[in-house]
Amino acid sequence: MSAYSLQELLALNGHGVYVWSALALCAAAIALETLGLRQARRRALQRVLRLHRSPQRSKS
Amino acid sequence: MKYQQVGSGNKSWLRWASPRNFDALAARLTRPLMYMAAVLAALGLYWGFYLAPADAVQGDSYRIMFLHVPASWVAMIVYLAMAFWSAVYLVFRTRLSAMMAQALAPTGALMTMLSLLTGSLWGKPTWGTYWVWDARLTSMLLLLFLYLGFIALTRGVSPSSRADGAGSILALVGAANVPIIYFSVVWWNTLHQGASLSFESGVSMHSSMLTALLLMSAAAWVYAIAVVLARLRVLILEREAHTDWLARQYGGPTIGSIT
Repeated sequence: MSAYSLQELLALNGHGVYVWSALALCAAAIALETLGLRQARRRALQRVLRLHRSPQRSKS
Repeated sequence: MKYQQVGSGNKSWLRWASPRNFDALAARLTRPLMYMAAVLAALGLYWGFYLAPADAVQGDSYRIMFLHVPASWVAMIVYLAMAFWSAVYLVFRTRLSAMMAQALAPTGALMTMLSLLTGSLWGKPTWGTYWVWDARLTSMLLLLFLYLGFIALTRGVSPSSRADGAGSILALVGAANVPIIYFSVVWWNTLHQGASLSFESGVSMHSSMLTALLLMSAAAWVYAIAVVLARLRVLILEREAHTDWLARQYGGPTIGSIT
């Protein structure tokens, strides 16, 4: 088991830039995918509602 | 959250081939799977970035492996799943199978992209270069193009039945690339290292590294399943928009009276 100070953790012996940007990329990809899907679902639901000319809006 | 109660009369697993029944199942699974993925990722990151020691040769840059390896595994297996559902579609003509293949593709493409990007961020400090035209890297790039081609084909062609058929054939033909990626490090003398986890040579890493890797892989899996199910539900909404069951489910009680 190893213990890091915050500074050491950020630097990771000089490899920090690579490691943290890889992590940031993955986080950004997941955020984009989930938010994009949420938006696509909202758009698709609105279309369903429009097609069937519903007088009331329902939430899913 | 609303979902239709699935009829208890039909016990056959075939009932899940119906978009309506499957939508109800997916609706119940997505959220718990997302939470599970988050917990697994949190544990995996704690193990991988805090508990696991630095690598004797690669130093700390090897920690990228905890992102790179799960992304690569998911990228390859998602493609095989896509090819499998495409084959099912071609044989049984069940439209949900084609939708499943189309729901898998964007997540597979994203994972492939992450695999390539995290790999090149690892390559810079370790190999001294972001990219080489090595067999493993090149076949992985081809996988990305296969995914993008599949997405462009299935989104760009209408009617959807033609798109489903053409996409399924592309997915099946492209599946030949997956074993090439996997065995590329064995078949060719590549710069990319061999597997650290294999059936023949077992595990060649510290146990905390293995724990982290397995946790991160599980997280990537569960995330991929959750997000694919969510996308399948969107596809169902898009493609079944005209159906009565969707109208009843989301349109409110007055729908039936519309002429």
